[in-house]
Amino acid sequence: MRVIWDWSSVVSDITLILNAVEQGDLKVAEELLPLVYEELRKLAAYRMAQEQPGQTLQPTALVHEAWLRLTGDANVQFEGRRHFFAAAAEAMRRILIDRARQKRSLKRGAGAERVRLDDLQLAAAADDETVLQVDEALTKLTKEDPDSAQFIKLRFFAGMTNAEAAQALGISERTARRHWSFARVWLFREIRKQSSE
Amino acid sequence: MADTPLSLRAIFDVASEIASGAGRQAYLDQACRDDASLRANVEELLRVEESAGGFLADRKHEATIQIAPVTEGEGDRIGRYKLLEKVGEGGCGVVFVAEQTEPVRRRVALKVIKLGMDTKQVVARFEAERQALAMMDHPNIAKVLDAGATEKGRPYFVMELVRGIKITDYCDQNNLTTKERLDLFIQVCQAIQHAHQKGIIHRDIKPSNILVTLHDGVPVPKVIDFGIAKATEGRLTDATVYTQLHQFVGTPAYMSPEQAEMSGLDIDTRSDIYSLGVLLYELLAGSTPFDAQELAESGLDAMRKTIREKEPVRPSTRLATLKGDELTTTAKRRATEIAKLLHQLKGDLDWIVMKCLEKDRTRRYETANGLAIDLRRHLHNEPVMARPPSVAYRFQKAFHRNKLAFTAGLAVAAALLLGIVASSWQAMRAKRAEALALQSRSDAEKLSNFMLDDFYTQLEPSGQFDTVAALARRAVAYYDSLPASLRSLDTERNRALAQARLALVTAQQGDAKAALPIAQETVATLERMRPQGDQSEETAFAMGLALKAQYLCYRIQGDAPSLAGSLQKGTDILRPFAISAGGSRRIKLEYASLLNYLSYLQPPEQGLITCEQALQILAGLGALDLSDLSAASVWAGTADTEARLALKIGRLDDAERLEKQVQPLAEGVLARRPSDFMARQDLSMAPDVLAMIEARRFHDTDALRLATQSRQAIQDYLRFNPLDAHASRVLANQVYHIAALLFRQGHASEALQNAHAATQVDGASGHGVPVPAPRLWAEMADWEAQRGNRGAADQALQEARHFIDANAIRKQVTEIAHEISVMRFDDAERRVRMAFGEDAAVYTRATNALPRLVQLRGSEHDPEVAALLLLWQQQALDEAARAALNLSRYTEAEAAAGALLSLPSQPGDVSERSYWDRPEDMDWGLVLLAEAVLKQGRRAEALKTLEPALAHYHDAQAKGAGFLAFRQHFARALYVQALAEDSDGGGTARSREALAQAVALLQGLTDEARQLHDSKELLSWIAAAQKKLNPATEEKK
Repeated sequence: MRVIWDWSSVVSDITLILNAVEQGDLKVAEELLPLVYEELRKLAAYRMAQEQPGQTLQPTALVHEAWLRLTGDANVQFEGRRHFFAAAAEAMRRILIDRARQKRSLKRGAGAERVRLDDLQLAAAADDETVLQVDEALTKLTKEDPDSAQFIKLRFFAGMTNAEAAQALGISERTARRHWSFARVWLFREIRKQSSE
Repeated sequence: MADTPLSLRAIFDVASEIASGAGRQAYLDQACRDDASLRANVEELLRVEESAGGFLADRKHEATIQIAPVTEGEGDRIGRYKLLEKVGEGGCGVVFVAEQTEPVRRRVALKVIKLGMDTKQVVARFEAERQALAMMDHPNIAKVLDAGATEKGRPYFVMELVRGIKITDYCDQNNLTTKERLDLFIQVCQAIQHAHQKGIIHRDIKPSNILVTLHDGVPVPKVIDFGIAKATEGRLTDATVYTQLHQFVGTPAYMSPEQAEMSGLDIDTRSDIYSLGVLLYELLAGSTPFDAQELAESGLDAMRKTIREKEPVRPSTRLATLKGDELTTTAKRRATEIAKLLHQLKGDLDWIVMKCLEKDRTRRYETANGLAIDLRRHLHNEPVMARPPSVAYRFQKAFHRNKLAFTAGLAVAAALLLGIVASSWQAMRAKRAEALALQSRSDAEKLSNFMLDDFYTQLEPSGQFDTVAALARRAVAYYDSLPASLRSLDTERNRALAQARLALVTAQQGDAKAALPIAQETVATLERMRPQGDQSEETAFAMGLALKAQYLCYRIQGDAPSLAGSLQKGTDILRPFAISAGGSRRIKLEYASLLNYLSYLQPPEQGLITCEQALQILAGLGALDLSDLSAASVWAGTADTEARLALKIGRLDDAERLEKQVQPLAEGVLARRPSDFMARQDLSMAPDVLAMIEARRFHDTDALRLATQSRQAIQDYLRFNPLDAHASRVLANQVYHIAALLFRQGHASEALQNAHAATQVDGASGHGVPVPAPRLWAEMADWEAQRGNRGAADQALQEARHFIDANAIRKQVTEIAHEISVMRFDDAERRVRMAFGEDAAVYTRATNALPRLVQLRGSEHDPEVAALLLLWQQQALDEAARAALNLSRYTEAEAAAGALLSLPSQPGDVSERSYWDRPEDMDWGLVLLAEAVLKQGRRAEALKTLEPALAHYHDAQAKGAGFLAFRQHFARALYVQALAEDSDGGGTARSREALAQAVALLQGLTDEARQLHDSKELLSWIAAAQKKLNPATEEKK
């Protein structure tokens, strides 16, 4: 199996940005997001073309693959890595939310026509309402406790395990567990509150 | 902590770890104080936690990506081709039979590549190679005719239509013999040779690209897809790994190491030779060298590593390790019997295949033709070019290129053998082949012993613990499976050895919880054996290992009181064997390594002697001239221990001399054995001792440089061996030392930054070992308080408390270790309060803490714990004395200072705090006492008390001491002196001089350090005293 993929141009862009992040220039994080977003879309589209119809993929595999391809994992230091994964989770989140919103509006309008965002069929296995609810609650959690909210993004939208998310954020697994148990309960309460309103 | 309310999050974190009930309520009472809404909020969350169930925890909730269908289908037209029938679908594309109408009417195979993008590049690359492809004309090559892009934008290729099946399937379905298989394979080689001569590399040789068709009943292999790999060239990706499609999964198994490298640039014809080798392997032995499924599931990096580094087993070996029925089937498919098939492969064919599979392509066949010729030689019983490498060559190769895989491979082989022997034991007996069974049993046991014992010295330094653990586990299971009739003292000993080794490696991996019960069981077993008259060396050796494992577990768990006993017992048992002239190397080595551990638990003077004993034994084994690398490694570790002991009792020159021998020796070991993690560890920790020595000499700049160097070295080491829990803690310590050094030099904010960094270095081992976080946070609380940041100080205290509670809740520390942590916390809290003027509270709390400290220290036998208890006692008395002075309660101050002076002096650096910060404890006690005495009007006594302290301080100053605590203490001594001198009448000149000196000392601090609470306070007192004393006419105090 051979793959058609020309990464050379994006690779240098992203490594440059990540290295700048490393040196503390935080503005570049904004530049990072669209690039990572675009690459994930492309990669997902490509993977979609590769696989048997009906198969599903874990986004975490996608994100890690993107990371490996982009950086070779060698030239970018820790800070860059953290920013990359944060950006990837944010990108995933936007794709999922766009899709869920679009589907919701379609349901209210024309009906069951299949939604296509370019070729991308990124979907939460959870139903769209849950995705939107979690996202809304997450926005609130960000104000209460930004660290655990960031952590949940990696888990929920980028499909990472606790251990993977901990590694991506450079925190200990203990801290990860603390984030997890707090955020989970907090979100649960928030969503319950929303739904009863 | 009265000022900063805790956040919802902080309270929840702690409360959720406490079981609901009174304990939790008590915590909430304290944490939420009067904030009812906060409390309601937390309680609601805690209630919700109980009902949240699997919310989000279920992976079903997480995002996935759904795959949409591919769209071209039968009946569609692509360019001038009409799709007739879909004949295959694989990972990289769908294959159709298509009809071409012009220029000629014919049927072709059309392959649509399943890629969504970059079609133009694929077609362009194909066009570039088109001419070369057109020049290929060979009966065993299917021509690639055309390429283009479909309307949907996917690239496609048109090829000569071959109606055939995969070569491996063809061979198996028709039960082709080995010779028939070789005949077919030789034709494939010729086809590849032809292409290579035209300058075309296939790059993707695998069974599904070699189809066999029948021409007049004669099988003809056809190589398809030439040129496609190059046109669709890209890098190996996870796509090939994660998919579940078999066609896909197959690919990495055929990939050459240089392809797996993913450089993408450096592929030549020898890459095809490698893939041919894999194909031949599969044709002969029924499977690929590396299991395709396993490879695919191992993840991209692991897969690449395997292909690049792992040495495959020979085809015949691979065959022999198949399970019974698989083996029978494989033989049947080759129309032969197991024994015959094995015989056919052993020798020539093994070596021919292995020559193709060389990682270093210069060692492979130069050409496909060369491979074909060698196969023909074999078929004609002529000597082949591929030669079995000599044992020495194999060894050298394995150790130079891939030591780990090699040793691991041997260990796996031993484990396998044990399994085979155990399972075939009954069968063999039934066949009355008892002699044979006994022989193989004894072989298996010998091999396993060799691996667990002699060869272990090769495995251990490279950190191959998993392999050893697996083997040891297997061996224990094997001995357990033996029927009672076959058990003997020997098998029991062997079992104990295997079990002891298992305990030891598990402990060395940092998993004390798992290791301890195994170690204890082993010790118990061995103890049962010894009184029965088993005084053999084997049993003693196994006992030594088990006790060492037990010690390591205790050390990991911080169970200080239990430490020395097991080590002492171990050394006692090994000693007679180790010191006898005929004692074996392994027992001497083990004995020396036990002595090394033991020495650090002894009083320093005794420990030094123990170390010397160990060093002597190791030197006798050839440690110093590096003729025994393991001994050299232990020598370096022991010398490091001895240096630390010498440092404890202030023998700085001895410590330095020893430590400077550690470095060259460890470097020597590493040069010869780069994977020796123990030598690497010693090397990385050597600068740490040198840093402490320099700090003790007041060479702070050198100390800081060395400590930074040490941090770097330990970080490097941890990259090499990230599982080393001990090293993680040393690293955290080192970062802390750097922070402490910075603080001591007056760089408070930088110190805090470093301390924050150190809190990140926790739990790297993943085994949940307690981390030094409570100490760090406690120290940071003190520093923040000194800087006047009450909020930050309280927050640090909160963090410290959290870790202490968490450790206790998880039962990761012993009770005594927990109590010591709490005492440390109490101390930090008192110091914070003191910095904010809460002297009355500090005095009460400090004096209340004393009885328990005295009680504990009285019953404590472990020197390190006792030293810590002594330190907290000193601290409490120091705080009580200072608080009492501030409160003008001078008799109490005198009592506290007197008690401080009555304590034994600390032997140097036993606790890092007294070492880095307070080298002059006794003198400081004198200063406090003098002040208390003076304030009660006993001036002469005060001066007399002060005298020795001042002498020491002057002396230290002459030697270059100038760090923060020193300047503060010395300045306060001078301040007390000034007050005392002055009260004598007529002494104002000396008083003024003393005050001026004190001011100069404090002015010598950095700006930041002058702003610290203790400095500021002292400066204000001095200023007040100067004001009072300066006007010559004033009444004297």
